[in-house]
Amino acid sequence: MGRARERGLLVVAIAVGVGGSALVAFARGGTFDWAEPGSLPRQAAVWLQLGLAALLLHGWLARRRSTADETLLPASIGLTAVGLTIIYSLSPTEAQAQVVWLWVSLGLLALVVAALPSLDDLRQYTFLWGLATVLLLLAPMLFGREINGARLWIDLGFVRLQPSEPAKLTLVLFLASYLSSARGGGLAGEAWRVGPFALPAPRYLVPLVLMWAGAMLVLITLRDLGTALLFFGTFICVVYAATGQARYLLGGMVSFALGAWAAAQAFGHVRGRITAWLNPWVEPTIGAGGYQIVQALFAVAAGGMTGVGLGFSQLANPLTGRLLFASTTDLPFAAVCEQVGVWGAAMVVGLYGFWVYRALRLAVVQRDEFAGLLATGIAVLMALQSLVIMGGVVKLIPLTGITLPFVSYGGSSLLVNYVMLALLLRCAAEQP
Amino acid sequence: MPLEPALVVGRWLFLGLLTLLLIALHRAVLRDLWGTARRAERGPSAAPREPRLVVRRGPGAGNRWLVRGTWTIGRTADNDLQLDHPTVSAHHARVSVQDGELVVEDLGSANGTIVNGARLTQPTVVQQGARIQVGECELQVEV
Repeated sequence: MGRARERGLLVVAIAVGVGGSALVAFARGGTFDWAEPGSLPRQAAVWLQLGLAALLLHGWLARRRSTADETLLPASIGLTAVGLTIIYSLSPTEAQAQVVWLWVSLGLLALVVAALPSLDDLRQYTFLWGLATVLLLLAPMLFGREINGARLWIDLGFVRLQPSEPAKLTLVLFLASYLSSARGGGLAGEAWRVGPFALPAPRYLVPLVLMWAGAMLVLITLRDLGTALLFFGTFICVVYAATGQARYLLGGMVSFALGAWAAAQAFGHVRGRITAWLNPWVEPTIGAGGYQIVQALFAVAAGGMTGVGLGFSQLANPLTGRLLFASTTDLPFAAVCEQVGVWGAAMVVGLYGFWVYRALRLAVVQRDEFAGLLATGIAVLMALQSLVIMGGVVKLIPLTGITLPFVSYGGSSLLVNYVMLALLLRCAAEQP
Repeated sequence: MPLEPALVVGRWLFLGLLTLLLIALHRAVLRDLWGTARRAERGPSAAPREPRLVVRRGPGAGNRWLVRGTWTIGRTADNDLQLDHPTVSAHHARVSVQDGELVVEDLGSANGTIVNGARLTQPTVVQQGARIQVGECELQVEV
């Protein structure tokens, strides 16, 4: 059986999950009562099952003699293990729900890898992907539910979904399929000039610009700043990767600067985020703008080099009350910093760096342009999303509420991340 | 708060495991880098340009292919670039990259390989933008 490297890495990744969960359970006092949500035997059973599922997935790939990348699955499982441990330490009930989502995600991963005959089958639906992106973004506006001041969720009764998560995936699919087609090829051309800038013929540019403007408009209306930032960055980077022309990158950066300035002038909530970032101590109380950033900074400071220990969080402990607002969804990185310190946090950053590196490496070796651009888009999305939220937590950039991939609590996010992983595993399988 | 020794050990063990995972993963990166370095030592220092073929007409129109080494074009699945169309021979033509330029050669096909209107009789260098007609399908060169 091949794929020995993947097997070894998976064992280490699962050990991270088992060890972390055991430490949290011990920190809680280590009860052995099966009925209690966070008890030791329960936690052990969860990780035994998850580990078995991951190894089964690996065995199945090995049996198919898959040439898929051997490091991406363990890296993702490792991040998930850290995430589940942290969520468990913050809220055992949310951790239980997350385990269910993880099962669904692993199932979906297997389904995509097995049932998708070829990535090429996704290429032809260019405008379906575009339409799906806009509809997904519009959905919460039409029948959404407001939670924490933003209408981003759809309530299906038994489950709550965040449609902007799958919209990220459909956006990348749209970009890859549009830019790898003959239409996309036209973007490299120069048909007319505006001053010193040469622009491609309108029939190539207009669909892309319409798509871009539509997405931006909806996201700004929804006040979903983090996602707007992600969409913008992904658009620019993938177009740049497809054409290799710096004018798209430069144009993107200039319009980002202008857009950010205009948004700060026009919208109070954008201005609030920026002032809270520049000086969170002006209003550091509960409910005020600087509160989240101040708490996150306290968490990072409390963690020090090696952290206060898993399960010993002071800022976000189910026993002492949760001072860290939205700690499992938006700010799990602050909890990581507090509990396992700068060392552990650096390892998490390293895992994201590795993941993105592997995805870009896959993109380079793809023979087929669609697959290459798809991998590029997924890599860019992962890089931007993790950087934007981790940078926000440590006050490097203004804090915007988006999920930390693979780590945050939230079903929609986890599902989409695993589908992206599945697409990358398909990409790899097709390299020569 | 007095920590139990087990928890102190466990804490370091967890950090150790996490570090081990990252180091083990990065061994793959190092292997990549060393492989690239070895290839660079063997080959010429300047990376050759990589010409592309775009399918303009025929099955898979719009697809773009990065040609590397020598490729065969034909109707059957054992070709590097398959054009499943009745007017394309099973093994129709061969393209190869030589010093960053694309050379096309007809493999005795029934309907011939036509570059910019002229039927090929011998291996020919094709330039940027050239249209290669393979049966009723058409490919275009992008360098």
